[in-house]
Parts: sequence; structure tokens; C-alpha cells
Amino acid sequence: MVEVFISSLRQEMMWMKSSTHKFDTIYIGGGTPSCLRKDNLQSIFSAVYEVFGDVLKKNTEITMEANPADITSKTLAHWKALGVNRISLGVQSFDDNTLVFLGRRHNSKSALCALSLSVHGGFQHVSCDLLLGLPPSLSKENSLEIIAKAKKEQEIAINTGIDHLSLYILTASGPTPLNRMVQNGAVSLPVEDFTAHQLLQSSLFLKSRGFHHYEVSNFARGVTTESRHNMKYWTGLPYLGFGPGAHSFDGSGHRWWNLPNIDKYIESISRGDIPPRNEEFLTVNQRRTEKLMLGLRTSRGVSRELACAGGAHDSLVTELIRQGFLFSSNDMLIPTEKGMLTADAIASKLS
Amino acid sequence: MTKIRNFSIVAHIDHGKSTLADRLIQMTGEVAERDFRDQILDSMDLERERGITIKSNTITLPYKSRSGEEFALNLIDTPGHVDFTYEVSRALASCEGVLLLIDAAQGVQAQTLAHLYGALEQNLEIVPVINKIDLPAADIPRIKEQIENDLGLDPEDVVCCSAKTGEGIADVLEAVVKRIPPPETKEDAPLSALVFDANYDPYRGTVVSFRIFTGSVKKGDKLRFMWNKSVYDVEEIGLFRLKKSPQPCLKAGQVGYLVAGIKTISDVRIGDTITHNNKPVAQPLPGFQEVKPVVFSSVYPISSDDYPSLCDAIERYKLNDAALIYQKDSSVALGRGFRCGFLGLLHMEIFQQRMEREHDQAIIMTVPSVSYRFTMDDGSEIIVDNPAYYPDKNHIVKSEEPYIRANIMVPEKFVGAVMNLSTERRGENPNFGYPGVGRVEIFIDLPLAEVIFDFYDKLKSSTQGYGSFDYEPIGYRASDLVKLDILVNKEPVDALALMVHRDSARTRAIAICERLKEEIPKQMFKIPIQGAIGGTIIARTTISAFRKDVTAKCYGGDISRKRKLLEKQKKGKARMKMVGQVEVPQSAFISVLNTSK
Repeated sequence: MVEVFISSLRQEMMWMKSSTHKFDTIYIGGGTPSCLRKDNLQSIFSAVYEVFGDVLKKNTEITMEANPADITSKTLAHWKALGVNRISLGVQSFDDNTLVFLGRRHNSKSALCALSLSVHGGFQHVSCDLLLGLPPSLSKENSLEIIAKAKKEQEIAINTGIDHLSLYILTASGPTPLNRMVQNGAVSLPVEDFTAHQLLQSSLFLKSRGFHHYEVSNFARGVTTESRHNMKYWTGLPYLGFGPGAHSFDGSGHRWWNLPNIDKYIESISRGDIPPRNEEFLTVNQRRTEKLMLGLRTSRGVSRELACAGGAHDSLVTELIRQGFLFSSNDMLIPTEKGMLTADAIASKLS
Repeated sequence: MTKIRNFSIVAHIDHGKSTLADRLIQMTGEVAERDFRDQILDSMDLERERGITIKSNTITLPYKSRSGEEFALNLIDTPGHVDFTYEVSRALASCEGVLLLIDAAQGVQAQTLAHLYGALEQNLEIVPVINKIDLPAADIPRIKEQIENDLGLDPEDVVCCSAKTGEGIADVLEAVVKRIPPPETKEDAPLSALVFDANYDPYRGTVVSFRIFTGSVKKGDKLRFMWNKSVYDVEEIGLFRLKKSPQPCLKAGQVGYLVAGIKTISDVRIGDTITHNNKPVAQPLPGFQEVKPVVFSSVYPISSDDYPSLCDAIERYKLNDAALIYQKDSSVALGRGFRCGFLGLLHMEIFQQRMEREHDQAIIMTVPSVSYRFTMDDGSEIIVDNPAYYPDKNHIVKSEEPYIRANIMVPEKFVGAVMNLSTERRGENPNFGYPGVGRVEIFIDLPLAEVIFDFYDKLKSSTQGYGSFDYEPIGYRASDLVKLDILVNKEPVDALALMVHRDSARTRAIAICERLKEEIPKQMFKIPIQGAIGGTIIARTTISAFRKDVTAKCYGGDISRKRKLLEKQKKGKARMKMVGQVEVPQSAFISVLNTSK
């Protein structure tokens, strides 16, 4: 089954090859590729190098999304041998109760161990995911203690020597068990204002430790440690996605994405057809909305020209600057911390 | 020749007027059992729902009396609410008698008295009817006592019935033919007929309901409407059966309809006198009045794009409601709309609901206002019903507002509650009457502006439903008026401004600010909501800013979903009105209407 899937992936890559130029990032993620068997992972990488070897730039960032439970020095050595130079670990928390609540396979100890092994395993970049906005009922602490505890977790993470941190906010939506629990009142999530405060406090703390806030959920020690791959999503550069549910963008106005059903994915490809997908061609306005929405998430900001829309939003922009949501730097408008946390509202006003 | 009786049923609200009408129709065989829908005369959904008659209908019932004589009973239905007092008076003027209906449990109420006086003024025969005798709480001896003491009518003349079960209905019909006098029938005199109602028929134009006092009318006659000074050729005349029944000729004493190519209902005025153009009567019938609106409100489409559709709808609505007046209006906050005048709050509510249900309009209506009178320092007088036109206060010499005299009837133990409510509403000059044991009639002068805000609801709740209420206008009185501005983010919102008495200004301002705070969602900036008189802030609340509005995770390249979410939110916000940079939802404007509740 896995073998058939991998050969489908390989086939899809071959078909798409003609539509790509040279590129410099590869991201193996979505789900937990780290649990793949060694030989399967090997096949995927072989396929990538075989198909795209001639268009891969030097210094390509190759990221592996990994579950801490799958990390051993052996697996790490294998990944390194395959060319992986960036590891993103879904730690989420260093609190064992929380990890049980989240249904994770690892505990705080194995998480810490995975981080250290990765940092010392010779990877250029190691990133750690942590969660904010956990249900207050999980911990008996008051608000101040919750914030202090979050900082403590961040401290533990960065003390391992990692150079990148992603702070996500737990959200309940769609048909997830968490959402069901929230809906029926078994679990309550903290109010948005509190999680916003938590994120701001975290940002201040991380700044004091040399990590800059370069995207709503992302912090990096220095510019060169930012996730180059993710940055492409936010800056409107082209990317190709392979596999069920993968998204692609041509960098101008065409987006398409495979449907998530894996059986149909394999079946179509085996018939010689491209996998079932949806697509859209962006209008000028949609493209503008995206640029605003994505640009305002990052410390790159958006161009003043884009935001002002030929003068239509001049007074709004002035007001947003006056109220401390944006600041002006050369021809760019950069969101402040406060602005980054309200990026969607600003984008909505400016779009 | 068939004998005629012209009569109405009058009653306090909920005493069973429509049910009795339906029962009479059914008993006279005018409608087959299988076609019988409850309350046939209340044809609009809204009337059915609220159990009140708004637009009246008239019907001619064939009846064979116990003595074997054939009668045509003209049941002239009347609107059942104080807003429509004038229409009621014209309907009564077309009758020789009324059935004064009284609930067997509730007894005599304020409107019972008002109707009694109305009927006495027209010199009508009054047949008291006790209805709902099937109720467990029915107390016929007590009600008879009230009829004798409160109304001064002979309890021996009372007919008892239950319109619901049909018990006693035959006696009611006999009382109609025995007690109510026949109309005079001067057929040879010049035509003199009273217009007591008009309805709009999309195929035939306006259908005029009238009662002939003298003379006769036939198809093809050239008729003059004396007050309106207009002339029409009769295309069709006839009787109101369950369907219209055309007749070659109608004569003195009869009640019927005419169609004469009258385009809109506003071309006909209730109370007008119809006569022959070439052989007119010397004098029109007495009692004609111009109907004047007393409550004013502006109506706006929720989405400005719908303004043309609102224009059409209001024109169509007006075809069937001559009492509505309107003119173009515009608001900075709400765009283009109309300023409308209504006979009362119920009339306004009917308008609002019919615009929504029958004309499919999504509308906002502003806080209702009465019309205030200002005397200026140059001696001129200005009538203002729209806060937008509040005159420069430095030049106002005198402000006056319209007052009404309320007639409130309650069991003795609620007098305190009623007086509290009335004092709160700036009531003056109370007088008390004691029509019967344990019952008090309170007459008190109140500013109309205080009554149009849920006074009736408050009265009902503070008297456990026992308080009944009627009123008549008594002219203008001096008053300390101010214009209350509501500021959202320091900008006055014209659609939220109102004229109020200085003493009520602060309470109203606080209530409105609080309501707006509930309804306006948090925004990126902190938004002060203020109430102000002139430059002085008298109330203030603040809507705090939200601190987070961003989708937390944006990975895997799925940008389309995020963008669509943003577009959807943006679309939702397009339905809000922008006040400066503040997005104000429609519900905020609507909620302000309810601040006194």
C-alpha cells in the first residue's frame, strides 16, 4: 500500500516537473512523515532527487516534520543522510497531563530528549511547536501562573539550543473531538483576549532571548533561521504540492489542490490521470486581498502602495499608524505586535 | 321588500368581536360550514395573528327572523384599536345601532366605555351583549351590575352568548332585528351617502364602502365626492356578500360598495359625502375630519442598494393605507429613506410588519417621534417631527409637545401602580371616577411622546393585565424639550438622535448607550458611545477593542480557504452601516427602539 502510494507520488512529480523552475526548499510534512519506514522514506527522497535533481539549488532547505516520539539518534542519522537539514518537532507542551489530553504519543521527557538529539544531530535548524490557549481546566493555575508557565516551557525549549519556535493557539473548529467537547461544554477554551495577551507576553519574553517575531505564530533566532519554505506561502512565491490534499500555487493567480481522498488519488494516477483536484484563478482583487492578508501576518509587512489602493485608504492607514497597528518603514507598512494579532481585521478593512 | 338593519359590533380588545362576527355569518348561512375559517372578517395574516381587526370589512347577511320576516343585516366591521378612532366613528355613523360586547369574565373596560360614548354621540341604539359565558370565570350577575352602574344601561336588555360555542347567538340576531331601528328610507331626496371605508383591489382600483342616507345610486351615475371635490362615473355598485355581489341600484338605508375607476385609495377620504354631480345635496354629512398622523418615524432599507425596491414597496403599501403619509428623507448614517407619519404606534407596527412580510423589505425604522411645536424669537411657529430639523436652540422662545388625556380603568388595588407609572411618564392632573365597587377610572393628562413608548405594555404588566386604556388628544402644552444626540466614536449619528423632555434625557441616553454597547461588536479601536445635549455629554459607555483577529495557523499552502473566510467576513460586514470607521450592525439601530422596554 505504502509502496503504491509512493510510486503515485513519484508519478505526480514527473507530471508536474515541466511547470517548475529552479527552487530551493523542500518540505516533507502534513501528517507525520517521521513514522514512515526507513526504506519508504528513502524511496520518497530518491524520487524527489531523481525528478527534480537538476532544478534543485544549492543550499536547499529540506525540512522534515517530525513527531518527538519517532526521534532516535538512528532515525536522525538516516534523515541527515537523506539530506534533511531542518527539523520541525511537534512538541506542543512539556506538561504530561496536557500531552495526554492532546492524545500525543510522547511525554515531556521524550520531547526534551528529541529536541536535544536533533540539535546535537548536526541539523542546521531545529524548530519546536508549542501550544498556547489550552483549556484553563487543565491546569489549576490563575492567569498569571498560566502565562508564567508558558514562558517556562518556551525557556525549556530554547535552552536545548533550537533556533526556531512556533507558538500556536489551540482552536476548536470542524468535526474534531476537541470541538465536540467545547460544543457540549466538557471543555472551555480561554477567551481570545487572554490568548492574545499570552502571545504578546510570549513575544516579549522571546525577544529578550534573541528570537524575533517574524510571523503571527513564528519566532526565529536571526533572519537566516526563519522557515524559508513557509515564508514562500506568505510572500506569494510559487510552490508545488504532491500527495492527497496538497496545495500548489503558480506565483501569479492560479491555485490548485488535490482532494484529500488517498484511494482516489492512487486510482487516478494508476489510470494515467492527474489526481482529482480543485482549482481557482484569482481575480485582481482576490490577489490583492491575499497579499494584504498574508503580508500583514509577517514582519515584512505590505507595501504602502498596496495598502493605500491609490489613495482610497490613505486616511485609514494614517489612523492605523496613529493607533499603533502599523508603522512605516521606507515604502513598507509593517505590523506592530498589536497589528500582527489583528492582521485579518486590518486586511479586511484595507481590502 | 326586505327589511334592513345596519349595525356594528364594538368591544374592548379581546372581548370576542371577530369571533362573534364569524358566528353571525355562519348562523345566517352565509358561509358553508366547510368554508368556515375562524374570524373570516380579519383577513390579513397580521390581524389573525394579533387577534385584532385592523382593516375593517363589511358584510350583508340574509336573515329570516323568528316571526318569519326577511331581513338584510348589514354588519359593519370596525377597526379595533385606539389608533383608528376616527375610522370607527365613521363606521358607527353608518349604523343605527351597535352590539356592545362585554367579556363575561373581564367585564367593562376602558374601551368599552369609549365605545359606549362613541355610540351615544351618534345617537345609536345600544344592545349590551355579554360574551364568553362558557368561561369558567364568567360572572354574569357581576357584569350585569357593571352594565347598570358603569354604563347606565338597563341590565334587563342584556343578551348573553358564547360566540365560541354558539350558545345565545340566535338571541343576538333577534335582538338586532327587534331592538335596532330600521334606517330611514328617503329614496326621493337627492343622494347623500357616507364613505366609511375604502379598500384597494389591484384589478379594479379603489373599492369604496358607503352607506346611503337619502336618495339612490345606480350604475353609470356621475357621482361627486363633496370634500374631495372629485367626480367619478360609477362602474359597478353592489352588496358585500362573502364575495362582492353587483346590483343594478342601491337605495337609501342600504350599505354597499362602488367601483368608479378611482386609482388609489388616497383619492378617497373616509367620512366624505357622495352625492350626484348634477343634483347634489345642499350640505355634506357632518363629522368629516382630515386624518392627521401623530407618530413619526423614518424608514431606511437595511442595504442602501434596496432603496429603489423600498420606493416601490412603499408606493404599493400606500395603495391600501390612506392613513400613511410619507416623504423622502435621508440620513448620513443610513442613507436614503422615507419619513413616515402614522396614526399611532400600532399603525406604525402594522406598517413595519407588512413591509417585511408582504412586501419583502428588510428595513430599519428610527425611534418614533411625535410632532413638537416651537415658537421662535421672530414670532414664527415651527412644527418639527424629525430630530434632524430641531431648530437652533438659541432662537427658541417656547417649546410645546402634544398631550393626550388617558382614560385608564383598573381594579382598585392597582391604582398605586398606575399612578406610579403615570407620574414616571410625566402625567398631570389626575382625576378619579368610581364607576362600581372595587373599580377605579383614572383620567390623567400625559405627553403623547411618553405614551408612544410602550406605555400600554407597561400598564398591562403593572396591573397584571387588568388595566385598560383609551385616550384622546387634548392639544399642545409647554414643555422643556431638548435634542438628545447619540455619538458613536465622537460622531453624532443622525438616525439615533431624538427629541425628549429634559428630565427624561439622561435616563434615555444611558439606556441607548448601554443598548448600543451590547449590539455593536468590538472593533479594532476603543469606541466611546455618548449621549449629549448640545455639547454636554450626559451619558457614556465604551466598547473595548478586540485584541486578536487573525487565523492562528497558516500553513501547507492552503491560502484559498483563509481568503474565502476573510471574504465571507467582509461580506457580513458589508451589511453593517459605517459610522466613521465603526461598523454598526442593523440590530443596533433596531435595539434602540426598544430601550424603554
